[in-house]
Amino acid sequence: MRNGPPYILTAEEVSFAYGKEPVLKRVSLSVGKGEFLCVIGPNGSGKTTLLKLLDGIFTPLAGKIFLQGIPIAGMKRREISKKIAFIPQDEDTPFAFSAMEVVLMGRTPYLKGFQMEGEHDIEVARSSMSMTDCYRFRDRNMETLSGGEKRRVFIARALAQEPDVILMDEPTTHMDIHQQMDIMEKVQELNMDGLTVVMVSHDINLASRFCSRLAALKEGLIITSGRPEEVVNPDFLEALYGCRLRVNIEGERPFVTLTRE
Amino acid sequence: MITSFKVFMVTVLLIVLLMTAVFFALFNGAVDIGFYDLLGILGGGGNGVERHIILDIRLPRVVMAGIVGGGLATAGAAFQALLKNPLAEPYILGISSGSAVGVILAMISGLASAWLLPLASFTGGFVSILLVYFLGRVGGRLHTTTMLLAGVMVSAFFGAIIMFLLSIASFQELGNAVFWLMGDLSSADNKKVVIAFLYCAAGFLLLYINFRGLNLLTIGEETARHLGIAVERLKVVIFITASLITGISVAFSGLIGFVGLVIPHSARLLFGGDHRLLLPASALLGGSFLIITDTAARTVIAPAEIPVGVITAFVGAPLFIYLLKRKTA
Repeated sequence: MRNGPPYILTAEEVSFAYGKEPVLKRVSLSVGKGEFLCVIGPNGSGKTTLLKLLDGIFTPLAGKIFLQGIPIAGMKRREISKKIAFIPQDEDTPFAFSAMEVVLMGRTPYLKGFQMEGEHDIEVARSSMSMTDCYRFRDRNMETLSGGEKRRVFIARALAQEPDVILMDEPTTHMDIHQQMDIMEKVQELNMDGLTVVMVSHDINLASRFCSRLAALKEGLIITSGRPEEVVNPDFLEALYGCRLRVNIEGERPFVTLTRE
Repeated sequence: MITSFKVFMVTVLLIVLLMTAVFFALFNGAVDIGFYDLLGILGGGGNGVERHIILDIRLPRVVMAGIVGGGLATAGAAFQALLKNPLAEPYILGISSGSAVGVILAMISGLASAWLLPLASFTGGFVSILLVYFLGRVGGRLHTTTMLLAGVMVSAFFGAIIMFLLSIASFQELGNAVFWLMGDLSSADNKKVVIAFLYCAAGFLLLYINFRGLNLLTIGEETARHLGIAVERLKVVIFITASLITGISVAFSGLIGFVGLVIPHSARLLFGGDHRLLLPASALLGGSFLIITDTAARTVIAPAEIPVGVITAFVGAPLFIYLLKRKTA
C-alpha cells in the first residue's frame, strides 16, 4: 500500500438501532495496521453489532465505515471479503463437509460462477490450515471434530480469504481453558506475523493478556480505549460494570480478580 | 474434495444406474413380457398389445416415478441446506400435506387441469414451508426440536383440512383420493410426464446455479452473507423451487414420504455434502429409488397394488428415527 491512511478500518460517528432500540450512538473507532484490538463491555452493549458494522454486513443508520480509507458502503461485497474476514460467535456445524472443504469456502470471493477451486486455492487452504494447526484433520468430517478443533477450522477458513484484517466475535465461547489458551496463542502468533485482529469478548482477562489495545463499550458508547495497563483498574470496572473488583498486575498486564474492593 | 472429474464420473455412473432401473421396471409387471420382446418393443417393433402395455402404461409411469423421486430428493436436499438440518424433509415437515390441500381444493372447485393442478399444489406447499420456517424459529435460530414440532403441527393441521374436504366432497369429485393420498403413480400419462419434467427441471436448474450459496448456508447465514451470498434472495429461491418441485410430485403422485430424507442422506454418505455433486447425485439416486420401489408396489401382490408411499415409509421412517437418535445423542 502506498502512502495510504494509517488506519485499516475506521468507524466514524456510527449509529445503529434494531427497530427503535438504539444500539450504537455515534461511535468512532480506528483500527491501526497490525493492531490486536479487543472490544469489551457488558452483554447488550453493542459489541457484536459494532463488529458487523465494521464488516459491512450491517449498514449504519448514520456515520460511515472506511476500509483502508475507502467508504465501505460503496464497495462490492466480494471486494470487502477479500480484505476482511469475519468469524461469527456460533457457526453451525455443516453436515457431511470435510474440514478442508470448509476452509476452501473461504475462497468464495475469489471464485466466479461455476469456477472450481484451482491449484492455487488449494495451496492457500493448505497453508491456512497449517497456520492454525488443523491440516492433519483436513479429511475429517466437521461433525466429528471437537469445539476447539472446529474453531481452528473456522479461523483457517477466514485466513483462506487472505484478509488484511480478521474480525472475531467471542472466539473462545464454549471452550475449556486450555483450548482458550491454544486458540488465543494461535491468533497472537498470526497477529505477530502482521495480521490485524479485532475481536469482541466479555472476558477482560483474556483481552488484557493477549490484546494490544482495549476499547470499552457501554450502552452504545465507547467510554474508554487504550493499552490494557492504562485501562484496566478498579475505577474502570466500576464505570463499566458497576462493580469494584481488585486488579493485580502480572508481568505488566493487569488481571481482574474475583475479590471486591 | 470435489473435482469436475469426480462430478462427471459419479453423474455418468448414476445415469447408468437410473437406466438400469428403468429397464428393470419396464421388464417387471403384472403381465409377463419376455426380455427379447421388450428389447424389440423399445427398438420400435413388437406386437400391439404388448407394445401398448410397455409404451403407454409402464413407460409413462416409470418415467414419472423417476421425475418424482428425483424431484423429492432434490427438494429434500435443498430444505436440509435451508433449515441446516439433515432431518428436514417435505413430507415430515407437512409441506406435502399443504400441497395436497391445494390439489384437493383445485379438484373440488373444478380447476384441475394438468397445468393448473401443480400450481395449486405449489401454493399449498409454499404456505406450509413458510409456516414451518417462521413458527420453528426461536430467537433467530431454527432448532431441530422446534422445527420438527412445527412440521408435525403444520402436518396435523393440513391433515385435518384434508379429512374435512374429503368428508364433504362427493365421491365423483375426488375419485380414488384415498389411494392417491397414500402415494400413487398409476395415473401417469405422457402429458403429465412432460409437465412434471419441465417444472422439476426448471426447479433443479435454479437450485443448481446456487450450489455455492447452498454450501455456505450449511455453515451459517452470517458467514454466507459475509462471503458475498445474497442470503435473503437465496432463501426465497429455495422456498419457491423446493415447494414447486414438491408441489408437482404431490399433484401427480400424492403423498410419497421419506424419499427426500433417505436419498440425500445416502448421497452425503457416499459423495459428501458439496451441492455441486449432492444435487445431481440426489436427483439421479432418488429417481432410481422411486422407480424400483414403485415396481415393487405394483408387482409384490400383483395384480393388486400397494401404494408406493407405504413402501417408502417402511424404508424411511426407521432411518429417520436412527438419524434423530444419533443427532440428539
